[in-house]
Amino acid sequence: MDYKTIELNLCQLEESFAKSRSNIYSDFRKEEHFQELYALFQKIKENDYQKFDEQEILNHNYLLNVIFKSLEYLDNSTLNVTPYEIISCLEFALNDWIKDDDFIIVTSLSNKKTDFYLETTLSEESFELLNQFINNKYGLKISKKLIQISLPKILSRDYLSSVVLYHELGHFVDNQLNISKKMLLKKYSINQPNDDETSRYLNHTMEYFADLFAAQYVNNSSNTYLGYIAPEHPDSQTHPATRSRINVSLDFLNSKSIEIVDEFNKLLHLSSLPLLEIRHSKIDISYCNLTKLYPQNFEDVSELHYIFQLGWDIWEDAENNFLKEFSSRQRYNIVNNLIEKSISNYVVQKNWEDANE
Amino acid sequence: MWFRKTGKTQMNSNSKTGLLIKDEILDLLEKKELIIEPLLEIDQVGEITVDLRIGTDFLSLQQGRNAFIDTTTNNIKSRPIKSHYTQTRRKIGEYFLFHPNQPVLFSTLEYLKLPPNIYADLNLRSSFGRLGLGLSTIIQPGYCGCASVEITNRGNTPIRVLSGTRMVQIRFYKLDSNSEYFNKVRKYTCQVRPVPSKANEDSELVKLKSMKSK
Repeated sequence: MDYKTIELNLCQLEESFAKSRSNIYSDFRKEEHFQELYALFQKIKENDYQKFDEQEILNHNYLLNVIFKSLEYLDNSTLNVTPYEIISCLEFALNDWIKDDDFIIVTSLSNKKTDFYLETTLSEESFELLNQFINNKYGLKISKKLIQISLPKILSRDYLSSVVLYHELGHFVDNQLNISKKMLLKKYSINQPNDDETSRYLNHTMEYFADLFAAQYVNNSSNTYLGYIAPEHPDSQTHPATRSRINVSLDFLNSKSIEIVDEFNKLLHLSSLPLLEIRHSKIDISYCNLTKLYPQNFEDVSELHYIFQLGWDIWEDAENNFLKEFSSRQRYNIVNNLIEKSISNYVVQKNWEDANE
Repeated sequence: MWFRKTGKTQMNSNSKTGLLIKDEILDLLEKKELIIEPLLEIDQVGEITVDLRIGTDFLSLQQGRNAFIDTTTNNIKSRPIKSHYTQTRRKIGEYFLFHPNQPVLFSTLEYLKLPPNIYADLNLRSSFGRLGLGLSTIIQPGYCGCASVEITNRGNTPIRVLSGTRMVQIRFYKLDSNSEYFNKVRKYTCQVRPVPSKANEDSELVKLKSMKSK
């Protein structure tokens, strides 16, 4: 790698910024983040990068790739594109675990139907190192950290499948708070996996945590969807078997004592972190508004999270309930629309009340 | 209970037909027979109307490469009517511009569900009508969903409004019998975002075309 790599990246980034600068963000934090990235880009461009030594080239190549990735997500996070309602729910959940305004949830839309994933994010330590580097070199700072979640473009308004995003947020919380890595340290006395067994253990622990994280909020709906898209998947190096994952979540939801949850909670307690616990309130389907074809009202945010389970329960029984006279397409759309409006009404009313204070 | 009736009338909502007045509207809201949610301020309910707010989703009609919008054909080879619109969203409190002569569809912020014996019509609040904006929409008895409102700026000056503004007034009329909204297939059910015209999905189009060769 030599300075031409930096030049190539800068030329391509120029094009990327030319496109992204026309974005209008409803969230001012995204606009600020964009401006910080642009200031950094300008400084690098103005620098005499042809004289960079090997280490500086490596560092700047890394920096430029961080900027590329951030722009990709910012481009897909304007209000016209991002699934605003589901992101609002995720922000409520995040707030239970990380009381910090320094994160922005951003999304990227993929053309692949099952592309739900959390982009590998910088650890707390790496983020600080990055900021130290750009502060020393250019006197600049990146204030906020992006939580980068990818989801399929065609499902960006599909609230039934969006429950998977709670699972992905669970991965972020795990990564940020080093929960699964602490489990690895506890069990094998190592910080990083060093063979197939420890790698498998870490991967499976991360998946179980993300599943349990989601189950806290959306009950069993994340696993319900998993059952449709990955039925009977066997145990693999990266993921536990689908059946095992569903059983762990069900046991957790039924308050059964299970080893993995107990182990997580012991560690969370020792680390003075929130515990894995039920963080949703059930709404009785017999009395809910959705069955009368209008949006659900929520007493509080714990009921809000339950809307996804309610939606799944109604859709799965659509042949027998109030939806039976509608076509299958209408049934699916009605459930999705009512979930969207229920969330939207809650957020609007909350913001309205906050504005009155 | 935030539904406060005026006490001016003791009207029983089953007692008469015609335009509903404030106490009758409040009575129906309280009994959940009429749904208007979110109703951010109770003073949106006036003497004979309820103020509705501009929602967050808009569809603007744009001129594209096609010479016309084809309402006569609906197959995989024809461009959908939807493709003639540009979709955009705003948060409550953000600006939206109504450009001259550009039809815009938006959903009201409020989700409505009407009883089977009440229909409604929508008009602009006079403050906006005076700016050259125009609309006319009727809502069937039993309808549920956000109202999809078509507005055109008939003046020659763009008009800027805030999403969430009270822009529309709805009036309710009681019928002397029920009308079953779902006794036929409905193209618009529980919509929460504006939906483009479905004129090309009219079931009579095939019949009309077949008459041409007779």
